[in-house]
Amino acid sequence: MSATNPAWPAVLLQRLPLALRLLLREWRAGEIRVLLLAVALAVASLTAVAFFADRIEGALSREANTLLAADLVLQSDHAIDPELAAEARRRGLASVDSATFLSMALAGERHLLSGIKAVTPGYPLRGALRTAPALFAADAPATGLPQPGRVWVDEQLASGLGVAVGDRLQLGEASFVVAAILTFEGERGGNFMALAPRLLLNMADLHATGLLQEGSRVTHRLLLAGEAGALAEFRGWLQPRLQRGQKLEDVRDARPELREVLDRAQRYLGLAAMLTVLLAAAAAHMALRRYTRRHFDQFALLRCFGGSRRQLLGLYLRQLAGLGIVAGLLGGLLGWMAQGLVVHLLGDALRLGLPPPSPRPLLLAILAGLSLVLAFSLPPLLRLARVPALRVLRRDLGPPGGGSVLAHMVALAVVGGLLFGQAGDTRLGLMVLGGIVATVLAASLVAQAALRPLPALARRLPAGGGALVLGLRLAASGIRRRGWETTLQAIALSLGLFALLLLTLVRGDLLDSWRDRAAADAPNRFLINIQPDQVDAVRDYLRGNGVAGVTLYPMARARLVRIGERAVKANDYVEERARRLAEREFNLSDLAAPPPDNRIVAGHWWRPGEREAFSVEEGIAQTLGIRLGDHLEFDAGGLPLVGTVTSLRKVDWDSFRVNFFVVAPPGALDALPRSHLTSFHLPAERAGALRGLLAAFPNVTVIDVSRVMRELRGLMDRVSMAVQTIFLFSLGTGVLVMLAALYARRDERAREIGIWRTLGASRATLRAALAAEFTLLGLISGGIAAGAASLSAWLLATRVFELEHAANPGIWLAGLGGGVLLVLATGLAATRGLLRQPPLAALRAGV
Amino acid sequence: MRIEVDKLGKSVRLAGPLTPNPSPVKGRGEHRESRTRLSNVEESGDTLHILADVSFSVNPGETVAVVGSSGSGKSTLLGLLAGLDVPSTGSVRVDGEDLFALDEDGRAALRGRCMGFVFQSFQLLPGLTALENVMLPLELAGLADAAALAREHLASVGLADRLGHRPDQLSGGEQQRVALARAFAVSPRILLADEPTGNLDAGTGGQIIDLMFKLNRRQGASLVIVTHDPALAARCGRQLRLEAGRLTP
Repeated sequence: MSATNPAWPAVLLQRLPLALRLLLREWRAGEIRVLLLAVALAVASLTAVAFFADRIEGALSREANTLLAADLVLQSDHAIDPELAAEARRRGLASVDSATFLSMALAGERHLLSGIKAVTPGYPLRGALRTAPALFAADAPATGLPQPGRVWVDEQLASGLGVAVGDRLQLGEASFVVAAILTFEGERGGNFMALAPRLLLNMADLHATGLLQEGSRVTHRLLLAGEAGALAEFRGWLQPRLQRGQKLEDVRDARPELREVLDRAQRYLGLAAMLTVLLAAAAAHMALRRYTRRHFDQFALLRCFGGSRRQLLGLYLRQLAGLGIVAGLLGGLLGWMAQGLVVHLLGDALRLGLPPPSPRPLLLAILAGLSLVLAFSLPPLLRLARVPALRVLRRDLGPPGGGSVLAHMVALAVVGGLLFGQAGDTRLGLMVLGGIVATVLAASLVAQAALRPLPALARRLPAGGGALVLGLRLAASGIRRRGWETTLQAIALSLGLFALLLLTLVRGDLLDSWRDRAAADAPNRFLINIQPDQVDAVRDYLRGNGVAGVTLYPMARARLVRIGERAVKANDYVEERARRLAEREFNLSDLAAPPPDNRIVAGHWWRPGEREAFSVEEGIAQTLGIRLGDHLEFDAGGLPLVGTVTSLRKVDWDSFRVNFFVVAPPGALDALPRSHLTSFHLPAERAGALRGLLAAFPNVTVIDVSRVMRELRGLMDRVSMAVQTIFLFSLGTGVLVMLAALYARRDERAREIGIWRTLGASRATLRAALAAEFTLLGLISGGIAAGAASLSAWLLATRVFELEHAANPGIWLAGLGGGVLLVLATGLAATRGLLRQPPLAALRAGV
Repeated sequence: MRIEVDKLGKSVRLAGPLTPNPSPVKGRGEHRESRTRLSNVEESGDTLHILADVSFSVNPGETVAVVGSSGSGKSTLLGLLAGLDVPSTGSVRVDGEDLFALDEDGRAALRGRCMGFVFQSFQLLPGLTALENVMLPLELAGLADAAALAREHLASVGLADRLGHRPDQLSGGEQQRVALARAFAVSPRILLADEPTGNLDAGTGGQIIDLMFKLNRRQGASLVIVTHDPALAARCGRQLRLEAGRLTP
């Protein structure tokens, strides 16, 4: 026999079959099943989360886009070049036009300032309009648009003008028949306070009204919908071509209250995916450590047979690469099936038309599996390569301690890459990484500190004693002997529990915030234009109809003319929003106490008797450059209103309650022309009460946001469901990590149990020892995980999700109790067979 | 193949308590053995001499038994002869080639080329069948007909009908026969055996010895056996006695 030294590619070809052969043999022998299962399940969770998140996100965006009536909108203060729409169509996008402006609608003697919207056929591109055949009648999705010569009006306009379906009204120079009552228009949900009653007509009729003159204040919109890729490309193409007065908006820009919901849901899915990566990595790490430890003998033997280090390392790497690919494929397939199953199970509950899964996540799954296996096998493989060949004669010889820093760095870099790739948010990535590092450090320190005094404590146990006392002693000595390994287990278990607790906490905060926002009793009607002398009568009327505790806010309209010494001019601002705000009138109020959902973020709320002060919403203050202490001057129809900014407020705009940009102390508006407004919840069965209200107070305008609220609530329900489902996937991976961590020491445990059994220890004693060990491990891991998760949840809630975070003492109970229960249950399950095994078999099989 | 051992010595520096084994000592049994071994080696200052000034040679085809009590350095000597360990002093030449002038991978290649091993604890891989265990060194050497060769050698040790059995399905004697088939399958020119009957009863041990000598006669390899079994030692052409790490006449 002679050794050959062929060229490298030849060696590769020659060795590959051997690596595969060995892999197959190992599979048959059961050596790699745990590893394959760990990696495959880890990849499955990762893929399921990725697949599901991908589809949910697509569906949620599409769902949300129905409230924009499109995927993307170009808004312009002048007519839009038709060439842009043509270009969009060339790129496969659907497009429609709309024009909105304020104008007076007339019916007989009555007239009402109305929000006119003219649209081209095909509107809306996303979602549907709803109409009713008569005022307050049941509505249904509308088909098509008003025919030429016809218009649809909303309830407010119909009541205000006193017209019914079939009546005629006048708009500019043209006369129209009211063809239906418009009950729902998704696009209108957002800034409803600024919207006048709605009149919808066909674009073909717009010219005939003669209302579009040079200089008319018309908002033109080009609504677009289509494939995400084509939209992104078109957006990229259009952005540099935007003219002054034009802006591009998607649902996130146009509907801030939805943006928050979507952004948070997306961040949560990112967080879940990240933590799943972490769990997958921990599971792969534990399983690979076990795999390499079980190959010490084989490696030494192959060295003895003449294998060089490099040759053997290559052999193992190829085996593991093969395993990574197989696990990746298997995991990808499992993940794909799992998400399909969940979508199927949730079915109607999810109520989202999910787009079909793309093949991309499957490819990513294989890559993730491969990189996880290879990256995490490097440190233990390099350790394996240091196993001395002399081990064939002296089995006590293992590899020297310490490890390759570089190999660990590579593994960390791969996990970091996967983490950040999944998070899609640098701050989120950094915080979770920080949480992980803190958990690992705390787990190592606490575990070492907690384990140190164990043997001394065990010695103090009463002499003799039953199986329990003996079991406790055995557990203490076992944990102490396996010091570093126990610490490693504690780290892995802490990470698993940390991920689960963190996801639970953040999920709780998210769901709470959504529940508050979309509560069934959240305000769904607004009354505006209530005159000061009607305030008491309106309040009484509402109380008489079962709506109590309503606050009627005074409101005046005024334009900001001076900030300190500086006159406010639109041209001084670059930002489009600032320019608009500088030109328009604000709604101001005077209040004794800040409205609910308002939080003072700088300065103080006025003290009793304080005059000439303002509290300004922080967003508008930032946009217009208003600072605490600035002197402001408003012009309310020629009357001045002055004061100093004494506080800045954070306002929850999506709370569907009345809110104001600027508030003054009570009485400040008394000298100004003002009206009152309010919001309240009106149950659907009492909707008829409004008819009487409108009859009694014809000048009062009712705005109905109940359908928008319902849509929003539906969206939040679906997002919540998605979040819960993703959480379940992560939960599964977390349990897998625990199993992998506990399984990792199974061989040593088998041998130990064999020795103890041989020496006469009863099963009850050994069971008590195992239970004591797992309980301690669960307590340590659960405690560390609860601490780290509480801290991370607080940081994430306040810095990333911008949520109210209430400290949750229950998490300690869940961490400690759940930790003990989970570790104890999985630990006893993982070692159950060992107690039944005959001692001799355990001794023979032990490593 | 000729082996020349010249002034071979192995010593370890002591730091603190007597721990000749640089790697962690895991079980109690091993620990006790280490201590027993220490009682039979020389100690001078902070250095522990496990082997000292050992010189001998083995001629092609010669059978040599290395005997001595536990801890006398027999296994250490065997490890050095195989190039599994490095000496503190002295040299080992295999057909004139200085074993320790080679790096570890060079020594591994030399082992692969011309050495076979039989161990006290058999060292069969538990997950593999008898056939696969025998195939392993052949496959590692890149032989295309590994399976046929392995089958042939298993048949020569009387295990033609046990090819698909895993080690835990074989008796101790059968396991050692598989190990013999594996050792001879690579047609070694030197066979190194470490207490090959140490884990077997006298009857089975006898059969294994017979088989080993029979196969060795057929292949004409040099045979170095470490043993404290006088019967086995007596079958060898020459005996070397180790005491406290030194050869005694």
